[in-house]
Amino acid sequence: MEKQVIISARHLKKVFGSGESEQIIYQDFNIDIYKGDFTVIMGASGAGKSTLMYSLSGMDTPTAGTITFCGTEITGMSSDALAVFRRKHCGFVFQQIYLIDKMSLLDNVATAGSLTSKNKADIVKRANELFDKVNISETTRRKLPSLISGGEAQRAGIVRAAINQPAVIFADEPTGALNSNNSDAVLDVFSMLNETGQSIIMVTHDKKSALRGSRVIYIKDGAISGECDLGTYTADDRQRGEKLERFLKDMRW
Amino acid sequence: MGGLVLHNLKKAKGQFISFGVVMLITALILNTSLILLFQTGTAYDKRFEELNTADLSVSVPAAAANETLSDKIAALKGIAAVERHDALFASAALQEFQGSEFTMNTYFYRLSDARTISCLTAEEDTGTGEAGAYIPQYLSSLGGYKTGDTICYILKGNEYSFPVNGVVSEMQFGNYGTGFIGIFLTDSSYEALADHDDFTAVSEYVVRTENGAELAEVKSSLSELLKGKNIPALSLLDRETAKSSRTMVSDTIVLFLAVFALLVLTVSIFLARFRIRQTIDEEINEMGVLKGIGYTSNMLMCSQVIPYGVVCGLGLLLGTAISYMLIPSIANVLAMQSGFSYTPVFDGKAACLTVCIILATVLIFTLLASGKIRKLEPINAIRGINPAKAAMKNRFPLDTSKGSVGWNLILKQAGRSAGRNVLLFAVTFVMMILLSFTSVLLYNVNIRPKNFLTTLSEELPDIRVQSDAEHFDDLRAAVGSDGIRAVRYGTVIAEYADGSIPMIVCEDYSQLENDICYAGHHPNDQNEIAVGSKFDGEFSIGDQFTITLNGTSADYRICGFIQSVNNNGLIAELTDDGYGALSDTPLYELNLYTDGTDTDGYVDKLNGEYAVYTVSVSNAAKETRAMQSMYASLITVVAALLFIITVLLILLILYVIMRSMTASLRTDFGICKAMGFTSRQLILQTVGSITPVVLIGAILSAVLGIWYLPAMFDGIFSGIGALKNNFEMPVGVLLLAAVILTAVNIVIGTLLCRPIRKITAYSLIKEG
Repeated sequence: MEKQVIISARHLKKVFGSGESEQIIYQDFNIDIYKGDFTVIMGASGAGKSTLMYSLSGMDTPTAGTITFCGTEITGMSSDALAVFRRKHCGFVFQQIYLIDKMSLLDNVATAGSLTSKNKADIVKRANELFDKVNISETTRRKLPSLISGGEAQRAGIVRAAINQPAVIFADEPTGALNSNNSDAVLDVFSMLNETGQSIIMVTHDKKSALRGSRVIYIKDGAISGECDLGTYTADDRQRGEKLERFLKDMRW
Repeated sequence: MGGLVLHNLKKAKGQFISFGVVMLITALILNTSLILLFQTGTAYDKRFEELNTADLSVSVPAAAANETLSDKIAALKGIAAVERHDALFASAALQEFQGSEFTMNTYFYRLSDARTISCLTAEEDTGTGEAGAYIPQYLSSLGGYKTGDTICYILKGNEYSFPVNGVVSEMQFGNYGTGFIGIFLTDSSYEALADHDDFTAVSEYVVRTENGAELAEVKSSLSELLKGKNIPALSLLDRETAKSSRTMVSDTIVLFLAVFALLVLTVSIFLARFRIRQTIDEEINEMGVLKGIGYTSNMLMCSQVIPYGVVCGLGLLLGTAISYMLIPSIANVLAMQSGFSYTPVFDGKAACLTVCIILATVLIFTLLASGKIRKLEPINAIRGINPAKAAMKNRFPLDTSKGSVGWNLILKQAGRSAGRNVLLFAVTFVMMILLSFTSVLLYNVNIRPKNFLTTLSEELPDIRVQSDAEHFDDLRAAVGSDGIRAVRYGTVIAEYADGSIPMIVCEDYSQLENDICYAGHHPNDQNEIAVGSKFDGEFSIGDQFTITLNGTSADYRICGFIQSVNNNGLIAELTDDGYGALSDTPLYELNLYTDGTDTDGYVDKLNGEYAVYTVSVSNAAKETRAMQSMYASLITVVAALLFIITVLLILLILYVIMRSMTASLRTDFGICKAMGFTSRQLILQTVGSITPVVLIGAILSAVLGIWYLPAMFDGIFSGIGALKNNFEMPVGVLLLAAVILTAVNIVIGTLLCRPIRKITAYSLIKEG
C-alpha cells in the first residue's frame, strides 16, 4: 500500500543573518514525511536538523520554499494562524522538556488539551489515560515539575504533546538530558505511540534513539545525504542495529 | 561592583525609566507643596511689612472720631503707632464681578490721603483722568476688571460708576473672605460719593502693634475702649484673620499636594520593593554563584539598591527643577484668591527636604527588600536549587477547580505572585482614592452644585429684594399673589464684645433652604441667638451672648452654632423678634424662592411692575450660577489634571509590573505558543490575571470611600470654616469611577502586553 504523504516540503531555504554574517542552513531542500512513520533526522552538530524539523512543524518559518502539512500550505501563515494550526496538528517534545513550572503535570497537559476541547472533564480523562499509558502515577501527575525526575518530566512532556491527538509529534533530542534508564522509558513511550499509528519526527544524535525510527534521514551540508529504511521497530531485532551502524558509517558519522 | 550595578541598570532600563518618572512626579508635587508652604506665608508677611500694614483696624462713625480718640488708642498697651483714615462705607452690589453681581462691604478711600500705615503700591497705573478708582488686586485678578474698564456699584437703587485708573497692592483687606474690601478714589470721585446719603462717613483707625504685643489682648483693649466710650465699631479687622482668609486656598492646596505626594511615594516604595523581590527570585541562582566566587551579601545588596538610588536621585533632581516651571502658574492662580502676588524663587530648603525625604525613604525600603540576599546559600546555586521554586504550589488545579480551563488559567496566573498582587492592590486602592475624591467633587460641583454652594455660602435664594416701611406689606402681598414664596431675611452689621459681627435676621429659619446650623438649632424665639463657628469652644449652647446695635445692647441665649466660610465663622443669627430688642425698625428685605418660575423674568417684573414697592432687586440665582460656573470650571480643570496624573501613574506603574511579568513568564509564553496558544489568548490571559485584583482594589476603595471621603471633605471644609458640608457620596458615581479605573487598567495593561506578540515559540528553543 502506498504511503500517504503528511508533510511535503519543496525548495526550502533557510538563511540566518545577512551580509557577511549570512549563513545558509539549507537550500533547495525537498522532503516528504509519511503518515504513520517514525522519522528520525540525524546529522552532525550544526547540520540544520533541528532547524529543518521546526520549519516543517511551522514553529519556524523558512526563508523560501513551500511546506504543505495535511494538505494545507503553512508557509506564509501569520504567527497566530500557525499557532492555531499547531494546536490541531502538532505535538512537541523538547530536550529541555519545558513544562510550566508552576503547574502540576496534569495541569500542564490539561492546559494544552484545553486548546482543542472545552470539556474539562473530557480533557482530564484523556490526560489521565495517557499518564496511565506512560506509567506516571496518580500522585506524581499532581506534582510540580521541579519535584519529579527528568524521565518522568519528559514522559509528561510526551503526554502533553499527544493530548490533542496531533497528526505529527515532533521531538527534538528528547533523551538528550536523560540518563540511560530514563531514556529507555521515554523511547518506549515513543515506540508505543508509533505502534498505534502516531506519526513522529525525531531529531537525535543518539544511535539508541535512532534505532526506534522506521526511517532515518541523514542531513549533511544542508541537504539529505542519505536515507535508511529500518522498518517497524521490534525490541529484539539485532539486524536493525547493524543496518543503522552501516548506514551511519556510510554517512561518515 | 560597579559593573554589576551597570548590568542591573541596563538589564531593566525601561522599568528604571518608569520608576524615575514616578519619582519625578513625586518630587514635582512635593517640592511644589513645600515651596508654597515656605514662600507664600513669608511673601505675604514681607509684603505686609513693606506696606507697613495695620495689625488692627477699626472703623467708627465719622462723627465719633476725634483727636482724643486717636490719642486714647495710641495710649493703649501694646500699640506702637496709630493713624486715622477717613472713608465712605457701604454694603454695595458690585456689578460684573466675574460676570455677575457681588455684594461686598466696601470702604471708599481718598487715594490722595497721606498714609504711613497700611500703605499702597501701584501695580498698574494709567495716570489718567481726574475721576476714577484704583482697585485692589483681588478685583483685578479674580473679578476680571482691567485698567480702563468701568467699575459699577448699585446701592439703594442708585448706580455709582468709576473708570478703573489703576490696580493697587494692599494687605489690609484683600478678598471676599475677609468680608470687607477697600477701593481708592481720586479726589473728584470721592467728593462725588460724599455728596450722597447712601454712604456712611466713617473714620478708620489703623494700628501697628509693638513687637511682642499680644494681638488678641490689644484687640480686646481697643474694643473695650470703644465700648467704654459708647462708640460702635463698624468693623474690627486683625492681621491674622486677613492672612488666614487670604491664604486659605493656598494652605488647602499645600495640604492636598503633600498628601498626594505621600500617596505616590507609598506606591513607589511598593513598586521598588516588588521589583527587587522579583529580581532576587529570578536571579537567585546567579546571585548564589556570585556569592560562591566571593561577592559579599552587602555588595550584592548594594548592586540592587544603588540603581534605584541613582534613578530616584536623577528623577528627584529633574522633578524639583521642573516644579519651578509649574509653580509660577500655581502662584498666579492663588493670587486670584489671595489678592496678592509674588514670584516664587529657588528654595534650597524645599529642594533638600524633597530630595532627602524621598531618597532616604526609597533607599531604606529597597535596602530592606534586598535583605533576602543575605539568606542565599551559594551551594544551592551550584546545585541549581531554587528555594522559591521548591516552595511553589499548584494553585487552582484544573481537574478540581470550578469553571472553565480558560478561567482557571487566568486564576493560576493571578495567583502566581503575591507581591505583584499586593502592589497592584495598593496602586489601585491609592489611585481610586484620588479618583473617588475627584468624582465626588465633580458630582457635587457640576451635577449637584447646590451641595457645594450651600456648603460654602449662607442662604441661596433666587432673588433678594429690599423694600421700605411704606411698601413692604404691599410687596409681600404682590409677590404672594404671584405664587412666589417669600421669607423676610436680611443682614446687618452689629457689634459683640470684640468688634463687629455680621448678623442674619430672619422671621422663620425653617423656611430657608440652606441649613447652616451644625450644632443645636436656629433661633426660634426672641431670646435665642445662633453664633458662628468662631465662637465654638469659647462659648457653649445655653451661654449668654451680648449684641449691640447703634448703642442698644441686648442679651441672648446661645441656641446653636452656624457656619460661614465667607465670614470665617464670625456671624450670628437672630429672629425678627430678637432683632426687635436692638432696633425699632425691622429689616424690609425679602428672600424670594421662584421654585420653577422664570427667575430672570420675575426680576424684570420686580423692576418694572413692582418697582414702586422695591428699593433694590438682586438676581441672586444669577450670582449663584456665576459662582457655580466659576467653581465648576476650576474644579473640572483640577479633576481633569488629577485624572491625567492618575492615568500617567497607572501607565508607569503597570509598565513596570507588566514588563516584569512578561519577562518572568517569557519561557512559559514560549511553551504556550509552541502548544498552540495565540498571542491574543496570552495577552487576554495576562490582562485577565491582573483584573480581579484591580477590580477588588477599585471597588473596595470606592465602597470604603463612602466612609473615608466624608472625613476627607469634612477635614478640608472644616479647615476653611465649613463645619457642616452638604456633599453627597453617590455610591453609583463611586462604583462607576471604580469601573472606569479598572477599564483604564485593562486598556493600559493590554497595550503594555503587546510585546508578548514578539515572543516566538522558536525563540524558546534557540534561547534554551
